[in-house]
Amino acid sequence: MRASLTKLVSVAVAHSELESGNDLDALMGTMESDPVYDIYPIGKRFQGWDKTKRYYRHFFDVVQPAIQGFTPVSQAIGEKGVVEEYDIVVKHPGESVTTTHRIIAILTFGEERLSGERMYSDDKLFKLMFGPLWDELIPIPPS
Amino acid sequence: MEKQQSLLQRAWDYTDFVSRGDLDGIFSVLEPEPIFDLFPISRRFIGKPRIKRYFTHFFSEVQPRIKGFKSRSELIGESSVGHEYDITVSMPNTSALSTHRVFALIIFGPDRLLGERIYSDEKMLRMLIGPLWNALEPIPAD
Repeated sequence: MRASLTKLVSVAVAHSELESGNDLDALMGTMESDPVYDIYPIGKRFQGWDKTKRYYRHFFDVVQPAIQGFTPVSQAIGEKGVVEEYDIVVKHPGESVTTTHRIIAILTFGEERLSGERMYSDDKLFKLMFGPLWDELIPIPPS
Repeated sequence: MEKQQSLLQRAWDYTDFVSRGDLDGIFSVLEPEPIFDLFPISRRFIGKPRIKRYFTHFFSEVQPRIKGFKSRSELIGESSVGHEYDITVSMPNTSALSTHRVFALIIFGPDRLLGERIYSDEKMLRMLIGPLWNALEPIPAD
């Protein structure tokens, strides 16, 4: 039986807070066993526990240090997930000036935890975010 | 709370007016200086004359090209309502259909709706915006 909306929202809130820390196990504890990360508009994804773990390891080691600022734009809640929209200021590797990227991410609900995310942003930010996983992304199949 | 409810009602009315092609209805729920922001291209158009051109193009050129529509999610927040959907369209100069993911947020203003923030791919945005494409302005940094 699916957890209550309140419970799933609280998992999403915990997930967001853990993303700004460095506790990989705790962060993975907010995920279901086979997470799916879809990115748009390029229409690609990665899937699975191991890849998700690699993504967050890269996120903690490489992406977090590159983030110079962060401004929330909006938040919303639905039956299928929680959405967070924000501007993120990044100093990309090898660049001397920062770049601001708009990103909107839906933390999608599974049965008891999060089933993954759907993110909308530009390729430059996604290439940084996904790092070594970038070349392993696969097209999102039509549904 | 009452204000939030009234803005939510306006957002639903707005969606209904758009689907019915009711331009007067659309303007009745928008603030005087509406803003439409497009991402990830980070461009926008502002003001009633441009919004009118946008919807005139939308009703005559875009709506007839829409061959399918699948809702993916609906989200409600303090400052916006979000609709995520897949839209299947026949693009100009091709007989093939293509499906595009669109995430559109209807933004609340002080009393009415401020406009929209639309996330999609460039091909879809170009079709959607049509003749306004070359008049889009960069979104200034806050």
